[in-house]
Amino acid sequence: MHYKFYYTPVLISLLLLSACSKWLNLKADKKAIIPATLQEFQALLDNHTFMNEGLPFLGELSTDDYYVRDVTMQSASVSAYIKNLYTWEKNLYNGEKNIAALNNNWNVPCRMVFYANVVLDGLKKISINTDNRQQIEQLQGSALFYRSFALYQLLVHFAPAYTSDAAAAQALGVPLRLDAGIDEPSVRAPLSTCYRQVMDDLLTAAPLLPATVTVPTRPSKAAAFALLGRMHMKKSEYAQALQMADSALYYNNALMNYNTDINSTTTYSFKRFNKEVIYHALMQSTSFTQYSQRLMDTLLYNSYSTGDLRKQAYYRKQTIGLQFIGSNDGTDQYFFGFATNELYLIKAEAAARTGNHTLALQTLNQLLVNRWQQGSFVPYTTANTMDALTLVIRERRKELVHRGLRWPDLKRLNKETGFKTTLKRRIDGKDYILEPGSAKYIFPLPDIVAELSGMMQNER
Amino acid sequence: MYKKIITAIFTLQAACCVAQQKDSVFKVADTVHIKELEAVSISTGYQQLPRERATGAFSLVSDSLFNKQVGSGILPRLEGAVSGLLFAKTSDNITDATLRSRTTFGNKTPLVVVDNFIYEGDLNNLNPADVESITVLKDAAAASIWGARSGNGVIVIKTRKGSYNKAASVSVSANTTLAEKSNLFYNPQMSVREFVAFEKLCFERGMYTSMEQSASKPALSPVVELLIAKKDGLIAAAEADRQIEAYAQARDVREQYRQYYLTPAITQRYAINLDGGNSKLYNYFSVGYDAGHTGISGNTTSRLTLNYKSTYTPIKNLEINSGVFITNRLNKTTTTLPDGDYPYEQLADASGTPLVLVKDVRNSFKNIAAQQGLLNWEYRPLAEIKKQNRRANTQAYVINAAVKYQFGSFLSTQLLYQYEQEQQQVLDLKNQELYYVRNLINQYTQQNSTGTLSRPLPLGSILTLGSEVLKSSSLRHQYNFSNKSSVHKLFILAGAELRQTHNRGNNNMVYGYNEDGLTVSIVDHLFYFPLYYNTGQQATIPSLMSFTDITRRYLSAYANGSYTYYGKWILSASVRTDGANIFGVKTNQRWKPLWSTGISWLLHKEDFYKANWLPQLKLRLTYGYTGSIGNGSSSAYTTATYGLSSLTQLRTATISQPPNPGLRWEKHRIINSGVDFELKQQVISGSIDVYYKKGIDLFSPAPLDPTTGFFTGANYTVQRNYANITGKGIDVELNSINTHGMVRWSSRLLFSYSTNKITRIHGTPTLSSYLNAGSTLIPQYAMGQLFSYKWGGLDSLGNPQGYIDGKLSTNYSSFATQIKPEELVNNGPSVPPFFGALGNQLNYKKWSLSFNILYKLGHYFRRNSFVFGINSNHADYALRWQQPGDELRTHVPSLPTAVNSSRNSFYANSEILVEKASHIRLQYVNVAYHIKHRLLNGDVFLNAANLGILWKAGSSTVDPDYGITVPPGKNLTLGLRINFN
Repeated sequence: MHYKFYYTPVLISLLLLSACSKWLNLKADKKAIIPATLQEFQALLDNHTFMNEGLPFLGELSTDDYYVRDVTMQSASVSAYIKNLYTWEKNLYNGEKNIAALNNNWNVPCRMVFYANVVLDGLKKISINTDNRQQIEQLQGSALFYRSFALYQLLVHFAPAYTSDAAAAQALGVPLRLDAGIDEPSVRAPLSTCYRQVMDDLLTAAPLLPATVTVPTRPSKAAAFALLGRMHMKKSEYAQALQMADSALYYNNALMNYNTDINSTTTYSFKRFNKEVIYHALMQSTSFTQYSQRLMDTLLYNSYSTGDLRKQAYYRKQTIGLQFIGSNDGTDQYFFGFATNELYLIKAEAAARTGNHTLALQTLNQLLVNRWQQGSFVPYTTANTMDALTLVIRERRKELVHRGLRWPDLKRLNKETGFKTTLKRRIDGKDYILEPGSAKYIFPLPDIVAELSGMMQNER
Repeated sequence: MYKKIITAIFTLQAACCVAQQKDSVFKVADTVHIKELEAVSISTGYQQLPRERATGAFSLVSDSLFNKQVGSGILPRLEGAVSGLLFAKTSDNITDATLRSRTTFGNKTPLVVVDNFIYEGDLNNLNPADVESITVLKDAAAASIWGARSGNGVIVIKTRKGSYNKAASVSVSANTTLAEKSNLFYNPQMSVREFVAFEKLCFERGMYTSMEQSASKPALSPVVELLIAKKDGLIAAAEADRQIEAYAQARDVREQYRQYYLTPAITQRYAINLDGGNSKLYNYFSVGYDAGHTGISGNTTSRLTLNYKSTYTPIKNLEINSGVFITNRLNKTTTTLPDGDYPYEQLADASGTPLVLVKDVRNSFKNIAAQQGLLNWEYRPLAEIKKQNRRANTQAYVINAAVKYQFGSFLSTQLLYQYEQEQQQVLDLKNQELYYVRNLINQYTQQNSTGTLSRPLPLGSILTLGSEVLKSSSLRHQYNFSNKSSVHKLFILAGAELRQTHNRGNNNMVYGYNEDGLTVSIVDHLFYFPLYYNTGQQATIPSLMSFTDITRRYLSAYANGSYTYYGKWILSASVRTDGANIFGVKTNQRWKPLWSTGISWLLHKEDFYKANWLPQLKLRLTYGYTGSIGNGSSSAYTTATYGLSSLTQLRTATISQPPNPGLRWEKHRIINSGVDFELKQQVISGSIDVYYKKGIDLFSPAPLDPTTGFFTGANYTVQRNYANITGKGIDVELNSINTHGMVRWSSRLLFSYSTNKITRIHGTPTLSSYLNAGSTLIPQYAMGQLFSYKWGGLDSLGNPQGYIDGKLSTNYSSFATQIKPEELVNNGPSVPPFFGALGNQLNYKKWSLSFNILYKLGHYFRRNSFVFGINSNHADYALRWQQPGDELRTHVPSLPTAVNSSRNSFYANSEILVEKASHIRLQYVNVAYHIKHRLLNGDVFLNAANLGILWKAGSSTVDPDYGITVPPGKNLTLGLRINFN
């Protein structure tokens, strides 16, 4: 009698134990999401703070589009590595390992790659049906684009210019992490492999991406073609570059007319997400990117003719010097994304380089007529394609100020005898020079990255 | 009289029962049982067992020891009372305790159990007057019954509940504590004159130029403003110099804080306990009330606790327990210390009228803004004393019920249930009178081209409400088996437990709150408004609306048994297996058991044992595993959190954890061997324990290459189960009775040695992790081992020198990159390897005097110094190198022309700033007078605590226990404890 009585609770206990294994499957923190659905993947890619912003400033701060005053260089509040960047020092980072802003030049693009990989890995686990096919394709195309754009940024800053296929097979590119695991060590792939990966991914992405997007922080077909255009230009594949620029312009060829479309009452001339913007991306801000420190190069300013409205749209005269007010973000942040004006210039340059003199000038004039005072623009004519090319390259610099393009353009053009540029700065009476083709065009990996990953460092 | 009233109350409550007379002792046939009850009994939370039967390492804090200290908290009273328990004070949380050598990198605080269950709420909810005794479970045999959360040891608080056949009694305690004003001068700072001179120097070097020219017009110090005005010719040079000189002679702002803001902290505590019972029922009831001023004018705290417990035997062999515990705590803040940046600022003029201080935006700009119609933008902190309204209220209750049934003499079963709820609510109402509100409204004020103002952040008060609810329920079913004969005794318990804790919270903030009518304004949190002081800068109106919802579930099964042979040999074993929903992966199903076993030998019971001088001698040996959860936030999967973009209005997700498929529990293996002894007449009694611990699979930030895409700021690590650590140590507790007779003098010595060594760690530590003071994790060294740069003195220009490849060097960037860890100086541990206490008690007639001395020895700390740009107002500025030759008298480097962070970090991390931290302090002195009367007995006492350092090895003024935290002031308590018979 007693024994039966003993058993009941024992049985209850055992039952409880087995039933409760399921009880333990509850997600502990309701705030935590384990990304697995299309909505969650979209939210990861829509994290524009991580996916569109914080791009490297190493290149932009090393260009000749701006200068800082001697007093700024003497200021104790500017970090040493920023000053070193400005003077193209050999020992750039000065042993600084734990400055997030410095390390983010490398880390932020790597994080974009990671997010894209989380989405790409996750999409593989979702079965495709007619209801979700379109969204899956768009997500896949977007993730591939974000990854490619991030790798492009790393290549611009941490890898040499693409001179030839043979040289690129030998040169060190950047690590290609193609899945979201974090346990594999990072290894720098050859430069040629990196280019192939980026361009193949973009070609895969373009058909998957939508023709139009609700907000330009999301990539579209035009964005993929625009980046392909840049890549081909870097590889001196001009026919393909022309084709890509054309493809992108097919989806968006809108230009603002500076006579009517700019806002003269606000501090900054352009609205964020204006009609020229194809893809929105921003550079990481730092000391020298604030107006009070960064002043625009006067030679560059003087190169605009009278009647060229860009003089007012891009620059404002202040007592200490020229302020840049022409960001497509509508703030003092540097716009590093894609806009239609760049596509016109890729097309014009590629046309000139492939011998199509007429198309080059026609394309350039199409752009410039919108930049000049109504009625004052006289379409450019040149004697030959070489002159047209020189003109386009000069106009390219004047049009695409603080767009993250001056540095890669210098790297690209320094390969050609006719377009080599030596950069000079004078600080407190001392001259600093950056020779074309200098090893200083390739930035070292942040010291902490080299230390933690064991990857090959760039010699400077 | 009292007795009768109380007896009457309890008689009513136990309507069916008859109150027993005090002297009618309930006779129990089993005398062995009585004996066991009389022996010192320890509580593990799962059982009460006589100390004699234990094989593990336990420490027991008795009622009298516990009550030698008087604070409102429970855990702080364990300091200096338990061997092996080390309190760190540099953190704000006084309960930051470590038991024995630390073998986890995560949370190191021991698990706290109240009676039968883990206490999840705030320990400050508990009333110390309800505490009967505290048992500390130190080794695997003692603690492993608590399974996956026992890795840091367990503190079991046993509360009073009364007993059968005890006449009703009342005890009352009341005391008042008066504490010194906080010492704001504890951290040495530059004198006011030095600070002014320093600002002038920085100004000459152009260090304020970018701030002066900044579009956001940041506030500059009054002296810098004068220097700018002088430079720009807006003020006559002589007048500027005169005003600057006036600042140099000004009274230090800290003195003014002391005068206007600080008050002595006074706390009053009252408690009444009643208990009593008959042969079928007993009850316990208590009320506690504490109220105090925190030491800052107008800020108060209060706590009310109610506790009721009842135990009832309705029929033979059935016992029912029930209890309710209720707390209400309220902290009111009406004043906060202003964050004055400049030591010469004056809070009030000669007549006591509050003055304007600089803050946020330059005063010149603020004055113009006010003329434009903005709200008064002046910051007058003194006018805001007692003007804030912040109330933090905690309401908590615990309900528990237990049923125990005894089947015959061998077997019993218990079902226990506890529900705990704690609700914390914070209300922070800031009205428009406060600078905080006016500043925020003004920042967002918009001015259009015609000068018309609009206020997207509306006038009115800002109200912040926060609420957090913790609900925890536990259910336990347990069997107890005991079989006793003269040769064998067997005790086994086995059971299963379900626990769930649920934390839910929300915070939100509203603008334009109007208490009259309870209206709020709707504001636009999405639009980027240009800020009034810098229209080039745009920001959204800050919003606070957040929710938390975390549920933790645990499922455990356990068994524990002991076997005694002839009363001389005892074998024990314990096993427990846990599942939790924290891990979210297969580990849940893995059910890895944690187990322990132990043996003890009561040598004095052997026939051959003849040492009469040592009537008690017991040897113990245990081995087993305990576990811990680590930081608890890990997951096997990639996890992310949602956000909302104000730019695109789209939902965003941010990855918070990268994938970690190998996630598992941390384990701690412990071997403990001990001896308990007692000399004749208890002249000396005590215990010595030696242990060896190993922490396996410890969660720790493992270095992670940020190329993987996972990093947070400049933190390049990820949590992983990768490290192992070993720990070892000795705990000694000696009690002695030194003199008998008129003056009875007894002492209690606690001595602990504890150390640890990291044996396995993933990756190679970077140079910066060697220098990460206090939290270094370096293989083959203790956690927190202190390393520093070898010091080579100052050079003839006042630059600090170190060594690279054995040669003196000032190449500071190389110190950060090229130096090898072997070239660093290993200073020693930052956690004291030796620590303990010496308590003494002297009794003379009805007087008793007791005092406790704490010591911590053999460790090191890194002190602060003047570091340009980081610690720019440190008093060491006065000692800096100023001219050649100074390098012979000082080690404080010269002031460089610009902030040189590499040079700073070399100096800050050099061995010259490392000091010995060994010290001895007087914890408390207690004088009591014992009252004994026919109706009552008790004590009147005077207690002085936080009496400061008696001796320290270091030479600086820093208290090594507190670092840069201001140590609490001395305090004095007068109180009484009375029991009415």
